[in-house]
Amino acid sequence: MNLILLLPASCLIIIIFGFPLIRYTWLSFHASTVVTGLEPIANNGVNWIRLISDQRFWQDTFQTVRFAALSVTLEIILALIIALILDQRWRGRGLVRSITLLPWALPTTIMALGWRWIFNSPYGPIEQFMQYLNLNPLNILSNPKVAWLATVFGDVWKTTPFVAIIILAGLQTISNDLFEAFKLEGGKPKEALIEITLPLLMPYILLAIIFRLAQAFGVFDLIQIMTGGGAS
Amino acid sequence: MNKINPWFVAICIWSLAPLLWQLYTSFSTSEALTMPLSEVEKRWTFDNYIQILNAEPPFWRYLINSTILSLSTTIITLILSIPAAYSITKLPTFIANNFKRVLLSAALFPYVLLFLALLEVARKLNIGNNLLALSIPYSALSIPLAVLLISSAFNDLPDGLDEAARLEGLNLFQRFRYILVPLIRPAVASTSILVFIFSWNEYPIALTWLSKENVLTLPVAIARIAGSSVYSVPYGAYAAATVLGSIPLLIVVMIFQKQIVSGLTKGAIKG
Amino acid sequence: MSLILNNIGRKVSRNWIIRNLNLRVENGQCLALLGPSGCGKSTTLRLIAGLDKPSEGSIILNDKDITSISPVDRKVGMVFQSYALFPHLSIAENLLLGLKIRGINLPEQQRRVSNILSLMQLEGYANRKPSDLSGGQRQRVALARALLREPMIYLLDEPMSNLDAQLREELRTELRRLILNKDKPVVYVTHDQHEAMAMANRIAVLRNGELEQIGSPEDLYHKPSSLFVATFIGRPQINQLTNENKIIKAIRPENIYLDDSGLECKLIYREWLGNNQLWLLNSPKGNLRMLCDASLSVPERIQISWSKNHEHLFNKYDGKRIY
Repeated sequence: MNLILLLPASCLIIIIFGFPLIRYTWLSFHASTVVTGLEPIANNGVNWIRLISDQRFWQDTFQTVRFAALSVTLEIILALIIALILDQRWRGRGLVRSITLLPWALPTTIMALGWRWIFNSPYGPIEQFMQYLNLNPLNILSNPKVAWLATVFGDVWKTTPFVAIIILAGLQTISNDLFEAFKLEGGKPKEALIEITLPLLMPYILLAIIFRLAQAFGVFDLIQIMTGGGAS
Repeated sequence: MNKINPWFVAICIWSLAPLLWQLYTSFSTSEALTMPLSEVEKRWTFDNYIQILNAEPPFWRYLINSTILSLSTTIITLILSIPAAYSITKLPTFIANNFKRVLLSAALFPYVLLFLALLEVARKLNIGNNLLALSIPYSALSIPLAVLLISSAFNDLPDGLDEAARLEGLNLFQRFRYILVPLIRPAVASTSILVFIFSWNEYPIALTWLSKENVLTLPVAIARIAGSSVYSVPYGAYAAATVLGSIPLLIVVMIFQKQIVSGLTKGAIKG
Repeated sequence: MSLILNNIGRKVSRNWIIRNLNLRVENGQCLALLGPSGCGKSTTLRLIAGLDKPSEGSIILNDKDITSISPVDRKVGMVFQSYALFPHLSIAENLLLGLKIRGINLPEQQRRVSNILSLMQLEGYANRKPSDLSGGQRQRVALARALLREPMIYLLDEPMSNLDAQLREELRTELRRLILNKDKPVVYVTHDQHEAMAMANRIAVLRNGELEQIGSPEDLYHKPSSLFVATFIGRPQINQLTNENKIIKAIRPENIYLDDSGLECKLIYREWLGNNQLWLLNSPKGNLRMLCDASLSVPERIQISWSKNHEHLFNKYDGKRIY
């Protein structure tokens, strides 16, 4: 009886996740070209060997890792700051929390093009600002060396709220007694941040890193739209 | 306490500035955009909105499509996840923990990798342009997290409630209807909202499954506006679409902020 | 008419939670299942209720084998430790739910619920939520719900463990009035030996899923079958004398008295308990607890003794009673 309840959901997951994975594995060991009459035939792992010896594959992998590492690092730092601010009891905290969440909730596509417009040269606000200061245009998106930094910026803007919310939840589990005990021991608020807050937040930060890394390897939509398929 | 926290202002600027820029763009004429610092004849306009609302199909069509898709995904996900989550809480701890681990890795899986094979299936079955059909893979992608969230809510229920209801003579369906689901309403609410937002925003699968103009979802339609001209992106119209497309989510976030936060944190921490 | 457990056992993934359990509870009798946490007493109750299935053995209620019958059809009235009131329903709705499901007509539902509310002195609370009630009131609602079921047997799972001492006293009277005096078997799970002795006609002491001893409260107190039962029952705890090989001698604190020709001791501390007092003494046979009259003052030289008849002798290796 119990298993009947579990079955429909499990079947759906197995089909939608399982079929593609099996299909890819199978395809990865087959070739279909004009020579084989477009019928897939087994080619004994030649695909894999070609992939591993392909310069472009390793370059793509390097770019993905670089993207994930930088954006996740920046997100953690920013999110930590935002969480510490949101943890304070000020008027309008609820409203600010909603506003913080907005970038996370909006479709990536909506903002991806928005960023493209913001980084646009010469009409976007950033280049306008550079002009105003009489500086040289940055041409961020047209320069492949720095275009990926713009995508990092877009990803950080969009995903920091998610990380901040997790860290904020961690902050709120820390009992106020600990800070009071620390104060009685003669500790200063700044020391409390390093001695108490950060160590106790570590599990939450690690968790956020795991979640974010998993997602950062699949930010197809952001990069595809922002750079037109250039940076990944 | 009555002063405004400057840090709060900083956070708001960080989060809102890009959106405000879109808002500004959407009401600007193209002359105003290309010559922001010099005097132009006409700076403000509704043309961008008029343009997308008079297009064929009109922009609100995409809003309806996204709403249909997101609602049906949410409903399917809940109908399948609630019983599954309940049954996990009844499994022996060892099996349940492993099951949850599998669900967690599915929830974390970069699903973008799946879309090519799913597209193959959609082509074979000829269901490419059907919004309800699209909600099936969407549900499958949402179920892992939904089951984790809801089963942790079942676990948090006080001991004995389900048993007491059994002793009162309630069968499984009656227990779901009168006791269990009403008691986990907060978790169901936050799960629904997360699933709704996911399906509203999903892009890669929608992009490949949907090709007919009148079934496109918002993200795909907006991306299309951007790609409609070969020479330059029509940023004005695009920004107008962005603003209109953001309003539903803006409302959702403002109303359900608490549920979203609790869903995200429970999902992250208990999962 | 009675409840009989025949060689009941339950196994969860290779571990026996409860094994070889044989019990019999007559109508109108209250059996307490007593033991430390993890001894299997709650599992036993759940097996009787039908919430879990036994891996072996059979359960017989009123000459009918109910081992494979659903919990509903067993007609058990169970009171949970956490009360298990439905938090989203009002008190009246909590009580009505079962009646509604059982298809009792509306006026009859109303009549029974208002009867039970007045019996429980809860009239004013019908429309409150459980969270608005005190612990004692919630427990009375839980009792009311069990009573409404008109059960063939009452199962009480630590019914008072979440209440403070004064409420327990009150609720005991209530329990006697409403349940213990009925002509139905009652099984009462508790980890509190005091409560077990106060409420039950018979006590079954469980340890690691097996029955250690079953008997009347007096039996268990005066003739504990093992050192485990002896230390579990009776407060202050029984004294164990470290001496002779293979045998542990034990003596209850209340059986020790001052005696000029007895063992010489030093006082470590004294605890005044109101109607009597407890002395902790250092003697050549180890530290001993002695319970004596509250008015007794500590003499200059403390010498104690006890009667041989009051000594309990246990095997040092398996803890079983020798004499």
